[in-house]
Amino acid sequence: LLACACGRSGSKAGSAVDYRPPDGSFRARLPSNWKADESPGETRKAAFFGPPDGAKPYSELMGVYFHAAADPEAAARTYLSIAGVGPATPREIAVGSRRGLEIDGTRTMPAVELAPQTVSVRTVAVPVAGGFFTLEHTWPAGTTAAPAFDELLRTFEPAAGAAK
Amino acid sequence: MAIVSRTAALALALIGARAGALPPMPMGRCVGATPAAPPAAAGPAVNFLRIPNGPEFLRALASLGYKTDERTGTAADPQGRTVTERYVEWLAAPADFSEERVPATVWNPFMMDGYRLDEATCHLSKPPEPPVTRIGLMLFRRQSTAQLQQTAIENLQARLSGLSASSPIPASLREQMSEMQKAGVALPPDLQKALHARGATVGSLSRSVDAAYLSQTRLFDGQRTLQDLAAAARPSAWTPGTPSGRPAPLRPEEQKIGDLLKADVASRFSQSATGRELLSHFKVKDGSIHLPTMLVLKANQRPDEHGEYGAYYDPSHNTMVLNHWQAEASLLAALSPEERKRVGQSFSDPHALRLYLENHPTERAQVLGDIDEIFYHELVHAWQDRRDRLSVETVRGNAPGSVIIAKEHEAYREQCRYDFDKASRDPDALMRSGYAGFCLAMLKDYDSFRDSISRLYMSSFAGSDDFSNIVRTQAARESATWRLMGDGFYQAAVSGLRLIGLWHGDAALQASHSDYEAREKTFVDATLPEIRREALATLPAQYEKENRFNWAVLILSNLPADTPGLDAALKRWAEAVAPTLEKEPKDDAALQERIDEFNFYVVQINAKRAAWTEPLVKAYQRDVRAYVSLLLKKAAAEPAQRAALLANAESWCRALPKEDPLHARVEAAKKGASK
Repeated sequence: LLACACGRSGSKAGSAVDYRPPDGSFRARLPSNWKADESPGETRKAAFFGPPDGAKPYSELMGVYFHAAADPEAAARTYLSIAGVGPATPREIAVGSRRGLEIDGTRTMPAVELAPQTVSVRTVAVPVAGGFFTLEHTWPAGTTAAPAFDELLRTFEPAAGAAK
Repeated sequence: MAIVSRTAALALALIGARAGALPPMPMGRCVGATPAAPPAAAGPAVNFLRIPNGPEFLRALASLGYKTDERTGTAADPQGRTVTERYVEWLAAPADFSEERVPATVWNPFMMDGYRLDEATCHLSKPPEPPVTRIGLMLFRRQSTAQLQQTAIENLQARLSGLSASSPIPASLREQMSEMQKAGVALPPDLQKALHARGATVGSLSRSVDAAYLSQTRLFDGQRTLQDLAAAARPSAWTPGTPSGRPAPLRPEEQKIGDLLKADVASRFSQSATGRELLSHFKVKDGSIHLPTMLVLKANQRPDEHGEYGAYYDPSHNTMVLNHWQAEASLLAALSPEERKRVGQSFSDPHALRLYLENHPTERAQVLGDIDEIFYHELVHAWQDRRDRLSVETVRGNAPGSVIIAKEHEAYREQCRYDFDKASRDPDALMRSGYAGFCLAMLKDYDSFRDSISRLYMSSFAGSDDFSNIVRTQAARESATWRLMGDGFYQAAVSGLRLIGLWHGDAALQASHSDYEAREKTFVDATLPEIRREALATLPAQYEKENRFNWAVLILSNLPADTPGLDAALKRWAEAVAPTLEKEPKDDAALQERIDEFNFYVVQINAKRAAWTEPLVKAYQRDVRAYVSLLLKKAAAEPAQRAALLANAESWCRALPKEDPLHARVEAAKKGASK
């Protein structure tokens, strides 16, 4: 299920390395020591669990998913419309060399121990021909998120013809 | 002792939501206030050679770290205090759980072995055996610690296996082990030292880990007779639910509530297609349904204990346990304030709770109604354990006892399928469920939903793993067993039997891995599209009929864009909601719902499924103004949330004309907050 993350040659543990998922649908720089789940699914391109150290190991998740849609912009806005409580219009942000739409929110996960777990979620949609990518970052609410997601956003480049 | 089920149960979302409205839950007095100290050393040292069973007692003390002298028959405790006759009496007296507080890893195995708490004396006993003594508890704690240490060592071994021997120990590895320690899974002290030694390399640590693993394995192999090992090495026909498993730890007085619960569960699940499908997995040759034994017991000593389960399935005893504390909280929430006041205090006593549940079928149904999803989830685990050999080989000691995340993916998605099935007959049930948001996320993006479960387990349970890591742990066990072959004739025999057992574990692991992958593929390719189709066909129209347009939004906005029929349903929703949007919301709650509806309506306008009209523009600005004012009011009252609320207010203000005075008010509030 969980493959070893990224190519690591010559990199220090945790430093960002170039990454491509098995289907080559995007590239980005990601921390070398996060666990990657590249198992094929309905939308998943790759999911990363980390950081492996700190007070709460593996409490953060960065996922890259692709959603086919005939009208990518409208579909992306619909997707984001309930991703969190917030503004009517998602914020526009730069994602690599493209334009993305971002929305933040919180979710409550059903608990397995004493109390439900509230997480912060940052979702960014990147419309491309034939659909849109979602880049999602989840971390425990009230904690400081790892900077890895900003690096993912800064370096994310979909491959030509990503909509397969 | 019983093996504790590692299939983590769902927990207490419902209770969490209600906790604020209820007084503190009665816990009784057997919840471990302060451990009693041994008596001061007064009188002469006891001579163990002169008392019945003295030498055994002396050996037990030695294993607990007491300084013993087999020649003189005397002992001193780890603090150097002489063991006197009074001290021995104290050690041999029943452990008093009004004083002793033990973690779930110690408490639960006693319960699953048939021990029960006497609420009057706070002693644990299993008649006709005498109560658990202080020294008995100390010995069991030691055994439990050793088992957890073995788990920690195996985990460390698996994590070291991919690293270069000459490299320094990664800081992340130290962090992980310290996190496991916090969760009660600690390395032995010598290994802790080796892990944190200055200049240590992966190679040097691996050698220490290997030595510790071999030593622990020898200890456990020494506790298993050759007969045990031979039994584990033979192919077993046993599956959970067949008589060759361990008997359920059921006391005669617990039978009635167990049977009533079984009947209630069967009756409730037979009302839905998904429920009937689940029940069919428990059908035996004569066509009758044989559900696991059901028990209500204190799965941990206190309701606030780390590791508490709402309910869980234990494959080794084929038993489903409803945690007493979950049942108590649910029942208290179901009662009227008067009834709660009359009987609530007695519910900390399992006997009183059991009698009440036995004699009040309506309240019992309410309790089950609160947690039917938990029962569904846990019965999925029971079914998983029936359909493959992995849990059997784990119970036989032939495969690692990790929480397999793939099992949780399946249990959660099946639980959500049950929720959607219920909703097709009772649409409001979905919105009443504490899992609505969670299950809607499954409709929207199954992979994201699945990854969020992986994250939850990886960050919450140190023993959670995917199949590939479990295979690595298994390989490390096998390689250690091969090395033990050289330890002499007896150990070679023991290791040979152990290896044969481990090979059964390998086969079970491989088959189970393939099975879970195939089932997930079938779910994604066939079942999930059907759930989405059914949800779209039944729920939004029903909610619109009841003027619950915001509930319809929750379904419509959670369906993928390519869901057949979604476009038409969105147009229908926009047409139906428009007249309502023009009306002024009656209170703040209605305003919040209205904002969600407008939010989604604007999305439909952008997608050209709807259009602005003059009355709608006016209504939108009216509601946005009211909402921004509400956010400003909340921001003033809630300093902790102020920044987020003001950011939200500012964002909504963009929907208002530039000259609207609210812009200035938001700006002023922001400036005030930054001072």
